[in-house]
Amino acid sequence: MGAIFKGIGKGLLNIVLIPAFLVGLAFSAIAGIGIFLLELFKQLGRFFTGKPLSCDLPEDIKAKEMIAAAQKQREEQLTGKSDVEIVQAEIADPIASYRDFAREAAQARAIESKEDVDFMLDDVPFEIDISVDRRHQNDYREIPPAQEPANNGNNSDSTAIERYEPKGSKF
Amino acid sequence: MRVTNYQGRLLDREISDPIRKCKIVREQKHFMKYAVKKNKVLFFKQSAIPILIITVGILILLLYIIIGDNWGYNPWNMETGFGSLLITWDFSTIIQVNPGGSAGVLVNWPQVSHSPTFDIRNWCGYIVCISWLVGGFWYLYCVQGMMGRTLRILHLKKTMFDKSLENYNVNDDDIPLDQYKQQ
Repeated sequence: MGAIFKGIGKGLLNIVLIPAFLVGLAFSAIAGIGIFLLELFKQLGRFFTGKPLSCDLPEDIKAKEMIAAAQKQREEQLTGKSDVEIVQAEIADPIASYRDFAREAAQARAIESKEDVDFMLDDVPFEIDISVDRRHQNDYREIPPAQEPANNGNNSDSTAIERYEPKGSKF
Repeated sequence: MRVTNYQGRLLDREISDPIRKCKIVREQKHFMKYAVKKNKVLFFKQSAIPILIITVGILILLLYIIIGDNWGYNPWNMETGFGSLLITWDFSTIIQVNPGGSAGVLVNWPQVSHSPTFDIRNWCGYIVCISWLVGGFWYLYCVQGMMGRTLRILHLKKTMFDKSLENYNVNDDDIPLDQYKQQ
């Protein structure tokens, strides 16, 4: 019951304070135009003097630097190497990281294939002779070697192009 | 009020790192200076787009007036402006006043004096007024955010640096006897 009266009281208070809120909003809107123009001229000054356009305050820049330094220190503690050492290792052996990756991938594939085979053998209910697949046995029959035609001295090859030799004419 | 409070609490996210993580801001004066500057910067970033929309509307109106040489043009006009899209009623005939001067009686529904009509020739009024309305409400939302953040700064100024001894009791400190003797 008390909560209902509390809600009603808050609502009435809001209704009474609405005109004050609107007056505050109007003054803030006018002040906001001045603040906007001031910040705009600051940014234009930074633009024309060649500085980077950034809304970060000096405290924000300092905080970002401190956070970046702390993260870098944590990474060095985890890897045991500084940035300089990592770059030097990359220059000395550029494909070392790829070699490690390839070895791990091959190991993973080997394990997968063995597991797949074991899985297949476990599930087969009866034995299948997979050594000979008789469905396609005619597909790969041996073609007899080509027999060369006997050479009777005529050099007559049925596949040879017939030459037209005119017969002797009376004329 | 709730929206103002919500927008004020968004300030915490922006100023948390230098105060909490990095311990750069440690004094009340420094906090006030930093938080007020941050409030202005955030307002500038948020209100850039609505002010740009309003400025574009003003430029379109100026170009229309200069090119058409129509310096008396009103974009809210009922005939040639945004007002042509609005419906208006005539309330003058709804109440009949008795001859004796006693209170009038409602006798009629209000008559429609202007019905909405869309005319492409009024394009300038439509574009300008819509851009002003959109930009204006958006800008007021940003101003409300700035007010909320200001109230939040005034609240944090008291709570963050409060050195009140209200609920402090010296006997509650559990200091071991040997350390106590050393002190």
